[in-house]
Amino acid sequence: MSYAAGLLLATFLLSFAGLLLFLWSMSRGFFGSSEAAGRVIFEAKEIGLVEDPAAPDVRNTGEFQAVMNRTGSTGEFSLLSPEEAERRLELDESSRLPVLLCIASAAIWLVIASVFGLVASIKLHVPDWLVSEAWLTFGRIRPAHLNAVGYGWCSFAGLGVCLWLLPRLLRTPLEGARTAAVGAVLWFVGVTGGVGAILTGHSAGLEWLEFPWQFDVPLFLGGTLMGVSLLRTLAKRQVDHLYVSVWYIAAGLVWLPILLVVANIPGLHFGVQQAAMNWWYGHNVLGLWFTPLGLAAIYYFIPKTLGKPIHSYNLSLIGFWTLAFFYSQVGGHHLIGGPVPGWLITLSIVQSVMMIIPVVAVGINQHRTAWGHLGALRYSPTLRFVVLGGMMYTLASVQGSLESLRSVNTVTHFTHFTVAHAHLGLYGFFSMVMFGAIYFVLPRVLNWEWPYARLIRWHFWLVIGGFTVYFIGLSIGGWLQGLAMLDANRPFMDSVNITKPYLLVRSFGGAAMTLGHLVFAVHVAMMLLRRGREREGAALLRRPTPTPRGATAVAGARA
Amino acid sequence: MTRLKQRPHLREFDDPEERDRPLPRLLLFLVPFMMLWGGYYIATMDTTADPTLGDGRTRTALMPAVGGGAANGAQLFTTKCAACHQSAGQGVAGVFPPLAASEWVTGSERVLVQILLHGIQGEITVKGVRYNGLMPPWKSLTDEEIAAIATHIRSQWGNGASPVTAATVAAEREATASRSAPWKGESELSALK
Repeated sequence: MSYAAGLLLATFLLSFAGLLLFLWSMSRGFFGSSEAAGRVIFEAKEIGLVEDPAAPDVRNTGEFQAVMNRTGSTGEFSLLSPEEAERRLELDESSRLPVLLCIASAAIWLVIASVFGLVASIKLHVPDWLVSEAWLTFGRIRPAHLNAVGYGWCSFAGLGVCLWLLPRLLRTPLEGARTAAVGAVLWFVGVTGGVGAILTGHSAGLEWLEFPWQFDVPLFLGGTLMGVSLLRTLAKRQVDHLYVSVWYIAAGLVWLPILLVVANIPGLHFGVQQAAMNWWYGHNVLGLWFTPLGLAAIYYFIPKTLGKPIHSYNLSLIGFWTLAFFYSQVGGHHLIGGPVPGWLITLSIVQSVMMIIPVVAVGINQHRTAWGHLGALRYSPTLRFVVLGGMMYTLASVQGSLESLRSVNTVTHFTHFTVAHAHLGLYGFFSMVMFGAIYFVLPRVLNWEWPYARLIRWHFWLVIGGFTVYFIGLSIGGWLQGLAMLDANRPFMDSVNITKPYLLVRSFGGAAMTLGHLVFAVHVAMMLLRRGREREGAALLRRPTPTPRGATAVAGARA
Repeated sequence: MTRLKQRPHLREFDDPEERDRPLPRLLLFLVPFMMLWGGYYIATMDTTADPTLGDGRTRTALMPAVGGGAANGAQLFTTKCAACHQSAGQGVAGVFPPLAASEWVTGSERVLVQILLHGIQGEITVKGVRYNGLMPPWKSLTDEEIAAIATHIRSQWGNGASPVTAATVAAEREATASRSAPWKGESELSALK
């Protein structure tokens, strides 16, 4: 064994010993009662009470509650007292301005990014379409799509949901809401400038880092302003336990600026080291920025809508720390076969496979919390999006671990299979969770109900149907493409021609998703403009049934 | 009994039950298993590979097979020779001499190798037609590559001459190592025979 391998093995075993020690001390209860920590998001007698502001009106909330009553929600519960309800309203109002700015921006960028994506997708099977203008060519539209999704839609949605979540989780009004709002505006300027730069041909040329560094400056400043506001709120917290969502949000807010600064310093990175840095950034921005925000939302909204504490709080801490522990070296598996030291690739493959540990921890926890209550998915839009998103997190992560292995990577890398995988993660997991979260957050922040339940249904079925078609089609096509490229006896063009029908299928799926996003954006706009009908209850997923069962008293107190 | 009827006690909730859950058994098995796998993967990684290649393939594995193989000669012919002599070896009438059925190609292998090594500048008669042009020297190619090209053109388009070995090329290269100018047409080449 070489010196490098020996050193790597010793470090690996030593750090794993640390993980075992952590697990042992957790099993001995050195981290305090997980029962109390898991209850932090509920008021005293709130457990057992379902909540989803986007869910059905008076009668159907009764149905939703009845499902939970039947499926083992225990203990006595009652509606919020007027004081408790008043305090919640104060918390929600404290973050209103920045949350609305973020969610509105997110919706705008979602639509723009979807159109870019759809155009890029169609160009792959209709190559002569829209080629007269330089800015419409594939080489610019595709990176514009990626950046508009990543920094526009996903980051804005994540930040908006976090800005709303933290005051609730910490029972403290948001500190510096105006600062955060300025931060959101700066972020918007950065994204607009960056996407504009890509379209006019000023891309920096590295995946995920296409924005010229000049536009990373407002991005960094805006992120910092929002981060400072959130961290100041954290410092003034009025709870004993930091709920697991807080861990994820706070960590993500520290990790992102580090990533942005290190990756964007001009003139620092060259050659092979630049490639290694590129994938260090490109993968970490997924695992250490979007993943924590998505998981924070899952850990809040599943228990909250079901009115049931998370299955095991300790398990969620293990999930958090192992994510922090393993993720940062994962990106190197994109350089398999590239001119980087072999030990670096091996390290990144090992770390990628180790990600199974946090993913299993999160998966068990979500599964055990939601299991037995899947009937509730019929009634709550939030739960529907978030639970599906959580399942796709498990799928995307396990798939990602497998794809990092050299044997699988040989086939899948540099094919459409990787594209399908990336969408499973950032769309199937993150975007779904954010849709669910926004359906919960907006009615609370605006104190206004979703105007048209039908639009929520349309949105859900369009994006789920579209995405299923998209993912399955592209995965099959990508795999066949990889096999064709590996076969030395087949000409390269075989690997291109074989993907054509699947690319066509992908465009159909993508078109349905884009349509769903339009429906969503229109609904959000109606909400912000207070259009549509005002409601007493919330919007419906299913039509109300004439004979409500269960706790009918619930409906009255959703202030 | 009467003391219990005091209201503060009646208002109290049940004592909280202990609901801290042990870690799932699946996780307790999974973590050590993952540790063993990771250790095994690191310990068995191939550290003899060239560190400039990340996937364990060595430099020789990536190099195409050399040594006069027909496929390799064909590839070199396409990239180096076909621009003038054309892909079917027919040349261009009056400008570039043909290789198919050329007496220079199928004749002495020593002369052919010398032409490949140093090129020609001057008159040469091929299949009864006089040509006066310039062929660049190819001595920057390796012995194996020149042997592969020579073998290829001696076996294609109806040519049926014997293969040329790398050793022959090496010997010819050695013999004319001091030469820097191209051969001055067929007069000088004929002297080699």
